Amino acid sequence: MKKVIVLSAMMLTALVAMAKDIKTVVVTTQPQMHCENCEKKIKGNLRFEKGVKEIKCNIEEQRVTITYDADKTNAEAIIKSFGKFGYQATEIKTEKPVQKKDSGKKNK
Amino acid sequence: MVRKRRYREKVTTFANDMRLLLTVTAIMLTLSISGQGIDSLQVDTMRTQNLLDVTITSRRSGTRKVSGAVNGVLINREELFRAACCNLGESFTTNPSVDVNYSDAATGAKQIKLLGLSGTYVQMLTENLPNFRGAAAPLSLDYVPGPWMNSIQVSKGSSSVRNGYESITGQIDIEYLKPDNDEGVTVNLYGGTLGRLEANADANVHLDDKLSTEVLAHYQDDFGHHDVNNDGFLDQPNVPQWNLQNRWKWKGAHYMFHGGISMMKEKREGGQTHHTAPDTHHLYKIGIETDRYEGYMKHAFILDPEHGTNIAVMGNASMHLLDANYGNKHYSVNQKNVYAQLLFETNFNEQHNLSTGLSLNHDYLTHDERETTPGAYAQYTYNLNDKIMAMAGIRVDHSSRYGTFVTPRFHLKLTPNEIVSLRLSAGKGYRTVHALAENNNLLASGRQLVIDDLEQERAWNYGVSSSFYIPLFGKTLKLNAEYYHTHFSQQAVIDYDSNPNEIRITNLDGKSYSNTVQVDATYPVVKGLELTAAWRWNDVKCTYGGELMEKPLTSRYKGLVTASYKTPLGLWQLDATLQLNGGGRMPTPVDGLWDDRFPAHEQVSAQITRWFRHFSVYIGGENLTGFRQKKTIINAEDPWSPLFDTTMVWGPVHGAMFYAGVRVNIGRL
Repeated sequence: MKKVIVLSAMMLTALVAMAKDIKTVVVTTQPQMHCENCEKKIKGNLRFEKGVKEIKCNIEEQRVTITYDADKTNAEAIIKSFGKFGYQATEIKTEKPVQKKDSGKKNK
Repeated sequence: MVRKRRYREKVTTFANDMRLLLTVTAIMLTLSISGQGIDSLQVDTMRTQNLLDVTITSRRSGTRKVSGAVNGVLINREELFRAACCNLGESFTTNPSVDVNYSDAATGAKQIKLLGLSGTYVQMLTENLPNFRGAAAPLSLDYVPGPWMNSIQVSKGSSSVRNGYESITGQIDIEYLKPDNDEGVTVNLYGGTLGRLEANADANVHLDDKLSTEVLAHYQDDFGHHDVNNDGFLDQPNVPQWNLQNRWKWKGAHYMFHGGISMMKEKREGGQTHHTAPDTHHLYKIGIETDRYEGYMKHAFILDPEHGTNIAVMGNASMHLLDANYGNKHYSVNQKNVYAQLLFETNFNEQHNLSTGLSLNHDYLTHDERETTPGAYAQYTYNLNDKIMAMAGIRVDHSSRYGTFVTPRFHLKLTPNEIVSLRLSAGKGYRTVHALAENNNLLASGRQLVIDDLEQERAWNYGVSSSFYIPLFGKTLKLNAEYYHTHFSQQAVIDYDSNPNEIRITNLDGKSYSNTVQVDATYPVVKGLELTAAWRWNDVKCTYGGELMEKPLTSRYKGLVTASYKTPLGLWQLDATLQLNGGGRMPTPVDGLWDDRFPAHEQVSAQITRWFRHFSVYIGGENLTGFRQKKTIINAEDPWSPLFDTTMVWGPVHGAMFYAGVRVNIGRL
């Protein structure tokens, strides 16, 4: 029984340690996105940034939605990283950032 | 200041990546080195579509159907990256329509088959211009390095009359990387366990907003000296190859220029390394030296952009020097080809399009083997809101050898709704045969090669194909079903069956046809995982010595299952392909030296790819089950006898092969 408690405690600790603070930031870009190539360039570069989990581009609404692991990066770092490939990003603060806790390890 | 910071950031990330790259490269070198192309920045991952309030994120497919009336598939770079596409011949691993087989067990030459018929009936194009003719055909699949290619378009059945009269079973058009792509340099290194090293690079620069240029370079060396079956012959020849191309593009509002030159040098050395039986003769050696020079240019004058009215003048020229030795047989040729074309195209309105033009082709192999063919064509396309598309074309050509002939072709595409589309096609094709140039590898046989006075080949091709896009569990199941019939009224038949002492290339005397039925389905099972399954039946028959027989060395069927998984950001990619090649007939056995049929066999390949910001790494394997044809050379112990033959090849000549590679991007974002 003791062993089971110790094991459960260890697993719980591991689970807490693995828990991720997943957040979302929505930005608009300068220059604007015009076509699939712009989308390709943004996604093709942003995906290598540490902590980035998902990128969605909406060309019509000129929005890029980035989901990231807040333990590894933050919105400022992601916005700054647009500069590496010739874009400037500005956060759209009208939306409330989505926040959720995720305990599983996600695929990169 | 900002620029400086950006530059510093770039340099820092590049340096970090380089550190990682060096580590990975060191690991790979211990494996033996390797490499095939992954473009870390050109690879797209997931495609997001926004329909009203619903966001659909799906994996971008590596192939797509061409929208016109012709049944065509475009294979893009993403698809090419799924396997070790060192060259054009290795680019069809995941393609259900195109088969690639070794032509023989001595030269390393591979040939494609489309609709169950030899690759000579597929018109090869580069940049939409006919290429790799005559003496260049047997080894042409090795002349296009994989990382140089931007895309490949495979069209099945009779094609448009625009590119000439030659395509019978289809067309394969190779588009190279473009000078006006994003500027930068990409270097690719590859190594495989069978002793192949490869290095290639592409670099382009935009000189101003209109003019851009590109250099493509390639070097490979096959140095394996493998003789797995211990028959005294190398399983594959040793092949050092150098290949260089320079391309230019000028793009204005009303005028466009596209042109380039290339040169290729290759030296193949194979054959016997030691005697396996007491022999007083010298070793049987095979040596093929090739020098090839090419140039092409296209001028397009846009007269009325609103109606797509334009005039284009284009052409290419090539010189192909081949010097081949098979034991004590020798073949050498200095082949020259010139092709020129004048095109006019216009859309009268949204429904009616006219394309018309003149062409001139000249082939020179020897004084007796030369041909000049001027021609003219007209093609009309009717398009009713993409629901009905009808394309009718006709061309008239006059050959200096065979006189005047007419090529009619017709295509119809019906798309009643978004779920179904149906294509019908019928058309004629012609081909002048350069028998020895196209089949000089048959000299690596102890039989006597006899070539009759050959007629021009003539065939009709009919096809019906249907595509279905079926919504299933929130995703789309892509389903294709097609049937093609090719019927030769004249053909150069390679006859192994009538006389055991000779291989005779003769005119068809009787029937020759091919029927193929293919069904394939693609479905994104879960996010990032795409599965494709395909099955094809081949019924190919030809008359040999007055008897209608199954075409030898042709599989009766082919099955294919491919799976490709990409993680959500596309940083990792896993690909696996299983091919099942059905058995078939062997040429009539002589003295019981081989069986009368060959068995069905499988081939499995897999690859793992990891992308980094400035480079990507991949490792993979081919023929993972290790299946190989045990006896690839007939009577290998006595290569100077009439029973010696290297051309009885139906399966893999080597066992499992592993490879690894790295591709580095410099400057491209």
